[in-house]
Amino acid sequence: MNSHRLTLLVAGAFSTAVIAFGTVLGHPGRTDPPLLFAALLATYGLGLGIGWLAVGRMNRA
Amino acid sequence: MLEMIEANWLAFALALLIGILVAVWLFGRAARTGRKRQHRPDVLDEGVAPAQRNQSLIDAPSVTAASFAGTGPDILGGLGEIVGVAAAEEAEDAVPSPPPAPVAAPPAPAPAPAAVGAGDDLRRIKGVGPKLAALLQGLGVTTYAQIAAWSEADIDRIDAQLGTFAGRIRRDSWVEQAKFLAADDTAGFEGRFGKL
Repeated sequence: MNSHRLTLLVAGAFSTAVIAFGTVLGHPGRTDPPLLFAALLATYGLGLGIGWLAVGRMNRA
Repeated sequence: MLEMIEANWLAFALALLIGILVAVWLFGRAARTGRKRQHRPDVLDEGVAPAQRNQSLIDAPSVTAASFAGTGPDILGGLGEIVGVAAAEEAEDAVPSPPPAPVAAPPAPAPAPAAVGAGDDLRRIKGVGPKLAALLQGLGVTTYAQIAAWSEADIDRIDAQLGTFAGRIRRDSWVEQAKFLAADDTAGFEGRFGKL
């Protein structure tokens, strides 16, 4: 994997972390911050997987 | 966990969307690049021989004309007479030249006086790549001096044998480039055509 792709992946993860941070700040005390961070990053990973499958399907079609 | 997702559904939706977008961007781009790298067949993949064979077939005198040469006006009335006379004239034109070989190499361009010795790297001429260089070598063109000495007639003759590369000689000013390279005038070349 070249550095350009790695940068894009990390940028996506960073954006997700920023969203999690904003959510924690917006609703203090309602959620467990580490758990929310982990859950959102996992969702980001899920999105990557879905996108990968979708692109693979489009290329085969 | 479900409560957390319900409470922060917007954040989860955004994270999922970012993931999908990043994946599409990453893998979609890779697929497009892969398609571009596929090999596309080229006529010159077969080498220079087919082009030379075709040229020799074009240059060869018509066999049909020779077969009609002996026929008189009796075979088709008036039409036969006309065809017979025309065929006889064409056959007369064709007689002095020896019968063509099926695959004969076309005449090589006139070598320049200074064109003796090892060949030059023709790929230094802008617009000449490995395939064209090989094609030119097959035609007997190996030095800058030869190209520099080409007349308009030489250019036309060589151009006709370049297949899909026809027109490159004038478009890329090979003769002008070759004059600089033959004179080893790198500064002049770079001033006119860019860095070597």
